[in-house]
Amino acid sequence: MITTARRARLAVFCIFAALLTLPVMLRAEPEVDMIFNTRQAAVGQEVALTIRISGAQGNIQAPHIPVPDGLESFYTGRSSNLSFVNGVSTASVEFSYVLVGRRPGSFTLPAFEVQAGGINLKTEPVTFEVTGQGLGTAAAPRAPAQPQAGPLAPASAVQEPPATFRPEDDNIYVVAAVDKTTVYPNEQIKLTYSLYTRYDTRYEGFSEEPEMSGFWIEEFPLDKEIRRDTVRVHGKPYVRAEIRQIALFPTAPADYTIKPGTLKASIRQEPQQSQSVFDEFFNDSFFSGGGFFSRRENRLLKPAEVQIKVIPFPEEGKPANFNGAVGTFRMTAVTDKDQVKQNEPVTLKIQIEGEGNIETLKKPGVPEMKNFKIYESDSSTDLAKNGFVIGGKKTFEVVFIPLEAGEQFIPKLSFSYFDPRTRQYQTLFTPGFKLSVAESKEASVLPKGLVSPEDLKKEIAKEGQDIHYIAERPESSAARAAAGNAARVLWLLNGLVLLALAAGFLRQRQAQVFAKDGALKRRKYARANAVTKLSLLKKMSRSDDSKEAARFFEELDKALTLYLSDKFNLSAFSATRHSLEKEIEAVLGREHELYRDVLKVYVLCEEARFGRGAASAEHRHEALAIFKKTVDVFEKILK
Amino acid sequence: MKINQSRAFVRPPAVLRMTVFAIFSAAAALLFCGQAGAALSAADQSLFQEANRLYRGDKYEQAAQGYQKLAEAYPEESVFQFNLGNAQFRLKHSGAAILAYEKARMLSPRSRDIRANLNFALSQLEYRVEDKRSWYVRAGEDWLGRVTETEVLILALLAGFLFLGSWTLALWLRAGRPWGVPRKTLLIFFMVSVAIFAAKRIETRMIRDAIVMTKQAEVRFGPSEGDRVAFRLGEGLKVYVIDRRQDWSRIVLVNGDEGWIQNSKIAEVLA
Repeated sequence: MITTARRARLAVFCIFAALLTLPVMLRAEPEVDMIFNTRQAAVGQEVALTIRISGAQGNIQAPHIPVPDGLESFYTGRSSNLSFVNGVSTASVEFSYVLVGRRPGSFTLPAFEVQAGGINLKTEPVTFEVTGQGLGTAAAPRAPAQPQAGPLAPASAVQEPPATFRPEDDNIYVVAAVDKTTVYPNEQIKLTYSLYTRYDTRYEGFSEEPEMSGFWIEEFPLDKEIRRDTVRVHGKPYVRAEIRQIALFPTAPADYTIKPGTLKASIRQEPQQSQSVFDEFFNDSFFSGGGFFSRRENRLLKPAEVQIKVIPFPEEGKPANFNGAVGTFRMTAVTDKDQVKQNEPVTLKIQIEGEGNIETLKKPGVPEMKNFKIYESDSSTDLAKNGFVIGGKKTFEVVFIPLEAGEQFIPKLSFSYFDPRTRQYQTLFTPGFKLSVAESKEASVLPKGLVSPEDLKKEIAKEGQDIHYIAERPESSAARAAAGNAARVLWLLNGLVLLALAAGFLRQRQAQVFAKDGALKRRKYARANAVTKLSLLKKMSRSDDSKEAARFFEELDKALTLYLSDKFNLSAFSATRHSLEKEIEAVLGREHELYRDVLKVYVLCEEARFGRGAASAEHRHEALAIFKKTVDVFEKILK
Repeated sequence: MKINQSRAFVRPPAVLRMTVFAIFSAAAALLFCGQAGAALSAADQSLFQEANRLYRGDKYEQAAQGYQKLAEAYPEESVFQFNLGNAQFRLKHSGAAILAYEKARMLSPRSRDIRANLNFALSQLEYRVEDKRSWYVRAGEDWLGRVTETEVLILALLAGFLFLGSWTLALWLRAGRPWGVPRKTLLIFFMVSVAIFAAKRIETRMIRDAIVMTKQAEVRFGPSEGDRVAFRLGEGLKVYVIDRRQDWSRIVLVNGDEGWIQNSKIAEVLA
């Protein structure tokens, strides 16, 4: 049976275990970010690139950036950060690089893989522009260049602080010193951080990483036991420890100022006199060394800036194929076979080995050969740190595919470098290779890992931007005139259509009124009908034909009757002469001249119709005049 | 048998047919025989060639003077403004260059050369103003910036003619019938096109674009030297004039900031 005390202990253990595992559970997935300080730079201008890997565990190697042709990259250091916020721990490592464009254009850094704690992380392709308005090939460092009186003297063997350097506390300070202050581009400089202390001191790393813009950087690993010795400076004994060593390779001639960053150390307050007080010096373990419960003080130590002058390569004797390699090197080359078939690939492996900045070595140039198709294959670097000298070997592979049978030759390839010790250029050659090529109809097959020729083709790069050129011919005015005319025409059309629309509305309104009042419609249209008939009758009145004369009076009778019946709203079919006479009499009176005239017209019409007398031309004219007069009078009276 | 009255076609009256024919004949005559744009005189033609020659010889100052004269004589010609912009750009007068490009863009809003040079000149400016306007305002301005006022007017007039014409024909030939889908569609088209025209009109006449012409210009809280400085603008930046006094203009930026600037420090695009 579990006792209460045991149960309580178990519960406390569970809570502890949960608290300990919680941060692990909450830890974010590893991810990689690429951060540029700018996406556009001039030729020769530096672009700072930071690759931040966060959430990864274990040792992370500096990623190798596959830079396109025309761009150079330089690794400038790393920094680590660990934060613990709201129970979530975030560890991140930042690798800093400098990219320098050597020609204008748009460059795309392709996606590449970064190994972090056994996980392969992939970056996104990133594009940035290098413009033509540049600084030339001699890029100025980002750090502010400070005027120098001349090349600085080599640093002294005993690394005392420079005369101008005044530490806040002369019992503890850091000196950043270089082994050379005047160098050639790509020549190694060793930067050493030495901590001088008279306190009981614990070194806690860099709180601010150094700024070494303009340098390709390689760190030397620290020994398990940091080297330390005792020195006397200005008569005082100090413990001196070399806490960091970095190899620097300047990228271009200029005067550089290295800002060495800030170091963090914790000390016990009182300067110690005895040698034994340095026992826990550089003990990284927080719990060991007995320092945990003692009262300590944190110090930020800022070394003095370091000036370096990088002078250009001598022009005298510079080989045409010199590509910036500096150091001492050896070169070997070997082919994987010397007897091949036509279209069968032969791989030439070139190895350059020695001391210097191996990473930046470039492949010896391969001339164009009409008998071969040539493909560049992989290159690999094996970096070595021998003491405090960076070296190693770099291997290049070039694939040759012979196109013709017979004896073929791969010529000697050359590689030039500058030896800073002798200040001379040296040129190395590979041996020439003779290939015996047998005839074959087989198609060429590229070795594995080699990309297809299509992928090797270079993309057209935009080399700069400028305004478009002036127009040398004025514009055609026809289009502009047509637009103006079209607008005018459309205005006119719209006006006319609006008028037609208004007329349509009036017509519709009138039709509605006439639909309600039929008599009004008849009265309104009586004159129009009479006028139409009048013009017809006029034509008929001119005829001499007796039949036509009879038809004239017949039509006149109809027209007059229709007009009067319309005006008096009588049915045209039932209107009689008598009813019309009564209506006229009611309007005009029996004594009115027109009353008598109308009756006369009717008499004439009857005479002509029933043949009691042929109506003469005078009668026709008179009858027509009376009809016209009737219309005029009644239009006025019955308005 | 029942006759579908609504579908029955009524032959238009002869008067109406003749009227329509007359209208279209007159319109066609006006369209093709109307007033053509002013062509370059021989003297101006040679002035243009001379300015081009000076430009080619890197004599941008003199070339700019020639283009300026031509631009004033032919205000509807975008080529002169474009070339003037190029000459001013070469002289590093970013304000004058952008002003000329903006003027050229108003005349030929879809010219790729003008747009490219304007964008390039803008990209070279030292200052930028963050555009905080809504996306639809930006999209609307961009769209309206691709058409001229005449083109939008033609669209509105055409839409009006189609709508009014269809209504008139319906009134004369099929009076009393309800509005069908085609006529409703034409009405919407007409209303939209009128709205576009109104927007373009407001954009060009009421909210007037202006360019800062001095290296640095102070924008104040009020229209006097005594008022406090609100912010400073750099040469070539575009502002919108929303009010104008004798010596001062009230301007607004695309980020919403407002203030008063001296008229001598800006130049309106549609002067």
